[in-house]
Amino acid sequence: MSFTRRAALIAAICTIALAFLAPDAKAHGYKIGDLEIGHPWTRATPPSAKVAGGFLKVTNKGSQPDRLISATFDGSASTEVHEMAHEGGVMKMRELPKGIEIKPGETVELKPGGFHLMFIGLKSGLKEKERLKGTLVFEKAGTIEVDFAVESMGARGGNAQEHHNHGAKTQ
Amino acid sequence: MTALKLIRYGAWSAIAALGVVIAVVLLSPAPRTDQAGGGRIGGPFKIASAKGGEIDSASLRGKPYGIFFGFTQCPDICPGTLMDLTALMDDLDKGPMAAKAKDFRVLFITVDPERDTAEILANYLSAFDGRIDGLVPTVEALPALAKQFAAYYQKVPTSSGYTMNHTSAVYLFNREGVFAGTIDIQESRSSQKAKLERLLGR
Repeated sequence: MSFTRRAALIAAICTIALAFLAPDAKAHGYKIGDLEIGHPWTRATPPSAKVAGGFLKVTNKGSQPDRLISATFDGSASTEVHEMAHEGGVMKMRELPKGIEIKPGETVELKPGGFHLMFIGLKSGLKEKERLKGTLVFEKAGTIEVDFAVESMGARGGNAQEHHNHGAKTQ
Repeated sequence: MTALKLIRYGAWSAIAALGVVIAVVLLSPAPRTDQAGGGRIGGPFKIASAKGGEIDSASLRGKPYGIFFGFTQCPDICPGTLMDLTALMDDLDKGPMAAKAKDFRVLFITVDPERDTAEILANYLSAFDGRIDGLVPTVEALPALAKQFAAYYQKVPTSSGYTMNHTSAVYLFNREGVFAGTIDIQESRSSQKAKLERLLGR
């Protein structure tokens, strides 16, 4: 193999490796104690909407279980920890007064259709690309301030997002 | 062939024939008992529209439509389903079904008329496709209306007030106002689109 071809090959491998290693421009994360918090986000809301869901990932790198017991959001009067489940064609919601357990070594994802933070009494509509501050309160790790990224109204998080974030009329 | 043999063959043939008749009776679908109303799901309704006035099911004759029960203080499934429908109609508008898609209507019926006023609902729906209309039944009329569509809803108390459990499906009705299946947010977009195309294509 000639020098130029080898150099080109190395450059190509580096480019591919960088593409995989470079963090998603929009993703953001935090650490508190043994917990890693991935990309807190919410969605743009239709006008007059009084509620929104808050989503994020928590990974427990420690050896003790912890719990996400409450949260606050600057854009709403109150925040509750909820679970949603689709059972027999019915969307069921319930509050989790004891919060969500994160076992050692596990990752819990708050996502559409499952665990979520319920932002209640929105002060104004949430607009795409905004960032609003909030806090997450863990039983053991304590309280951490985070930014919630406002994504499109149809965002579902993860890979499904691309599929669903078109079609909204802009206000 | 002896007479005895003939009788024996005859008897076996009769048993076989009886078996076939029994199988046909057991395997054939149960007779429909709902011919008069054109389906057990649906039926006539007249509900206050968020834009003012009323929407009467009779005025929808000739138009295929979808009915979705939800509420505006719904963090996920309601805006998600309305976004799905908006994107689906947008998709159909760009394809060969465009002319037929113009006739399609979606009625978003609130299961939370205590909090969802006509004004709130109209404002909320302005974010979605213009073919989606909001309907606000009275608190008194809601139970019978939900029953008419076999839809479920229930108030769930939370520390700051309440939220609602509700049926997540969008009920589809054809041009004659006859129930024609459902689409659901958990289906793939392609499956949702195929169902709408089938509905519009009739």
